[in-house]
Amino acid sequence: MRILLACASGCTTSLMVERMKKFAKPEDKIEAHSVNEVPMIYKNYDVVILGPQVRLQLDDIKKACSKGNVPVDIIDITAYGRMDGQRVYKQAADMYKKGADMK
Amino acid sequence: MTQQKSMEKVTEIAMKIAKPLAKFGEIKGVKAVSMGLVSCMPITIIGSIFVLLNVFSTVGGMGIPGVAFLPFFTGIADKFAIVNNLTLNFLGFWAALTIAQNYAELNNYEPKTAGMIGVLTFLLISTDGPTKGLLDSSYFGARGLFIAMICSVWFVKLYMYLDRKNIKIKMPDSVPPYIASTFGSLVPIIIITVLCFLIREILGINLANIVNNLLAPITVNAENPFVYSIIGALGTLLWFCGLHGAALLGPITQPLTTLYMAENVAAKAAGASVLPHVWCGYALGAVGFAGSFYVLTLLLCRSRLENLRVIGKAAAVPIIFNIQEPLVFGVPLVFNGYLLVPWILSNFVNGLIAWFMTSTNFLGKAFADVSWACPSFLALPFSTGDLKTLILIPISFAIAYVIWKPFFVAFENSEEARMKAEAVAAQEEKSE
Repeated sequence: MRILLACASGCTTSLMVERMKKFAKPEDKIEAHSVNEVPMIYKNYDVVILGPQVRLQLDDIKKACSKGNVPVDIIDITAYGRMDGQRVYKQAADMYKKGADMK
Repeated sequence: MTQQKSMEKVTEIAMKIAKPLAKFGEIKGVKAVSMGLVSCMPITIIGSIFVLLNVFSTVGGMGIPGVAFLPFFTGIADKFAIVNNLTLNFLGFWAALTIAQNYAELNNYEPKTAGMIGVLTFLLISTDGPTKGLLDSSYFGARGLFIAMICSVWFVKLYMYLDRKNIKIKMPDSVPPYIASTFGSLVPIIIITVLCFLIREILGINLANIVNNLLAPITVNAENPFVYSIIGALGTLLWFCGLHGAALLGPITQPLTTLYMAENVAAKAAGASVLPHVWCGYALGAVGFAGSFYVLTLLLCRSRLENLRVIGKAAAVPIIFNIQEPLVFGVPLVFNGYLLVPWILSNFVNGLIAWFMTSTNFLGKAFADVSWACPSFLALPFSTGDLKTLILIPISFAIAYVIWKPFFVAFENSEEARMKAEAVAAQEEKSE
């Protein structure tokens, strides 16, 4: 599974990436980028999740990623605040599964 | 109940502000300017390192007469300024390149040609070319920043328009695609070049100057403590709604603060002892930040409630690097009626103190750029070259402590009550 996390500059989410890696499988790819870059790079990922602080961009990102059928969502606020890597990883995995079922 | 209602009101107001801001930030030209200035980061940081080397190695450079911080470099102090002049002091030139590239990428055009167009049009519009080997670079820095933004967005836009209209030389299929694409961009670039040539050389219009004069009412009047405080409070209010305040307000403030920084850099390079601008660099913001969030982290770590202590510990390291999300979403500060008032109030008071201590030249002004993730206690002396600025940290910490403490106690009590109620509810559920 390839997960893309995005916030304003990709900095806070990169902290989250490290926390998520502890619960990820070895073949998983988890990366953090600036939300501005998402429309250019989303094709390299299976799931895109945004930090809650950039949620106003959700619609634009959803529109961009719908071209590649990549699911987009906002990271759960409580999990984000507690830097709970396990829960965010599970969130991404659920989105991935749901997306695969849709296809 | 009333609290809930007033909370809804605050949220409503904040969203009214946030939505148009987000819309503005999504305009491709605006976004490209923002991203382009961020892309210039290596250039501004390198320039800052060299301007600091220059200041540290100049006798009396740190404000202490007769003392140089790096005495073994004093002989080559002037040489350091050369790198600073070519990087930070040429920010307009570099921005013309990076903004054009970002603008093209946002429009799914390849950035190589766009970068070239950005620099080419910037040069054509802002200089008359070299005479006897010397090039007038007076518009390469602060004075050329706005024209760089305009050239790199509008001329790349024109290029894309011409490209879409298929105004190009068509090559036979036997020509390799690489060569064909080079020729393909030729006609649009010729048209753009002729246009710039006409504007500056034939009609004699100094576009850079006109733009600066048009924007002068904004750039001159925007820099005052009133505007600064309003922007600061807005930023906090947006964070309170869980939105990235700095990123939303950036498209408005960034061109201004970048200009102010560039003018400070130019003044410093020209040897001025008093710099013109207060509102630039991260130092000013670092003070409000160090106040509120250092205090909040400390209060959390020493809280009698375990769940708050956990959040304090988790936030402690990110907070040193100015990452506030663990606090914003962890405590949470989002929609937290208890903590909004101290948050806004303490940033407001500390911001004004820092502003007036700087504007009266008691403390040095910023002339070097540091990354926003640079800890405050390093950002202050490094961006201003003035060790005295460090006193802002204990001052803002003390003020923030006094402001935050009572509100935090109220919040702690409510948390305790909430947890007790939850525990009782869970108990009842079990017994049933």
